[in-house]
Amino acid sequence: MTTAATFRGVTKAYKHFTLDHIDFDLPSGQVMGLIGPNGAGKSTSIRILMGLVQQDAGEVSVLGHAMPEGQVAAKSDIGYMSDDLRLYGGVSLQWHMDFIASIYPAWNAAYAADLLRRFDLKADQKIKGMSHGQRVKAALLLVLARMPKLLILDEPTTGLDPVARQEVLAAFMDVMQDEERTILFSSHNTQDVEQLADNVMFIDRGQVVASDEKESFLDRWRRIRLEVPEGRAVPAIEGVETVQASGHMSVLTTSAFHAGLPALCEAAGTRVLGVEYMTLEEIFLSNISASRGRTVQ
Amino acid sequence: MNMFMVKKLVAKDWYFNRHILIAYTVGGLAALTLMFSGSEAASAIGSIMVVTAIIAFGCHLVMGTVVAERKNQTLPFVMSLPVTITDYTVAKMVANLTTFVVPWLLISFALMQFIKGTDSAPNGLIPVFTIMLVEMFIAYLVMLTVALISESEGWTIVSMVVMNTCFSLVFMGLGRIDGIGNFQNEPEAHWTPEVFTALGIEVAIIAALIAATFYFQNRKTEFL
Repeated sequence: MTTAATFRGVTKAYKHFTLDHIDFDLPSGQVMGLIGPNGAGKSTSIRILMGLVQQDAGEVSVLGHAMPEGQVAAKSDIGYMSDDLRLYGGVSLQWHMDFIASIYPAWNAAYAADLLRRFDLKADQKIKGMSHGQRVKAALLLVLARMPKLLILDEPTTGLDPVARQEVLAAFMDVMQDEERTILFSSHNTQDVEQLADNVMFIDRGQVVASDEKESFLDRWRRIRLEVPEGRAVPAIEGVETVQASGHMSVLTTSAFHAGLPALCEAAGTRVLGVEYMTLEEIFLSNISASRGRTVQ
Repeated sequence: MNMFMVKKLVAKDWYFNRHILIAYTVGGLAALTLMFSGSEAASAIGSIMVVTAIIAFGCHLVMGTVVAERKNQTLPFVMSLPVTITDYTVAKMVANLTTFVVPWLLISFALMQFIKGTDSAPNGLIPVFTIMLVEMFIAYLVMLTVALISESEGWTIVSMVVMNTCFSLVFMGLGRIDGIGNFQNEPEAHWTPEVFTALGIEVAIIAALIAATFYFQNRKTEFL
């Protein structure tokens, strides 16, 4: 397996926040979703990845180039978009398309024209006359039509209405047809990540809380509803992340579910009322909750 | 350095500033015409307008190309391109200085020609005006340096206020220097050692400002 990007022991300290020894690999041809609450360190990680912020310690490699030293070579093959990126308001989308086409030899004019049509954008319209959704789609068009090997998207769907959001996600799905392309996108919208990602990394308070394939998360995590009779306790099961008790009823989440787990609960004297799949959002929240609980302990 | 991208960014800024470049050049030349139209009142108004045109053009350029890029959040777009902080800084310096220098040189040249060709202003003013025109270039460079290093609208405005205040102080100060001020009303220009010393100090300040810009920009560990 080749990797498009790697983080090794990456640390960046600010006055009130520290990105703390981040390690991860972004496999080539895969889509990785970076999920975390606001201020978790997603944007800082992405800016380090782009060479825009220099790490205090650790090694970063993107498309085979050490960052930030190799950022020019790396960024030649990266399409970057973030929710705080704006285009020049006083000129048209066509001006931007010509500008980007003059920089990136791989610019695909036919694809750009197709995206223009699909996104319902007008090339001769000035950016300042566009709605927020149109501006996001215009920026995305500029990123996609340059045919980058690596797409880095920082909160790309923030502030979009449902229609625009679906159009943007559909464009990502098209990109994913190309198995050579790698995508890293951050979001606090877990639905987007669940729809697109192959791999998921949860980040909170500057630390990686969990990282795995999305399907593995969905397979391993379950919510188990138990009735715990008087004199009995919630069984000590490996992989239990959170436990919520209310009277005789307890709800536990586990990150290591297997078919024999309900039987183990029954054997411990509790009654299994239900075993439920969890959404990625629920898994994310449990992870954050468990992580913060562990931190407190 | 990625010269290909530096050229692209310079061309972009030239394109974005082409209208204000033309407007201020025309405005400056119109002010010069007024300055030497013969009437005393028109001369006073024209001279104020010439100074205002050059200073305002500098402020407009710095605010439009550096401060607005951060304020309007177009900086992430630029920095997503294959450029480093150094490439960005070189492009901003080249684009700004070349754009500023065109009307500044044109107006300076026209001013000198007007002084030489008119009886209403003595040629003895030429060395003083030369020093003052370079001082205006320095004032512009200070604003540009502060804008690039501080990335702050507030500090850039402070630098504008300070440099505009300095303009009057420098002009008054020059008038009191022997070898400069005492020749202002002479019919011929006197290029005294004091004039060359003042110009030499100005050139040194320009070099120091450019060096400081690159020094502090290259020390930055984050740029967004």
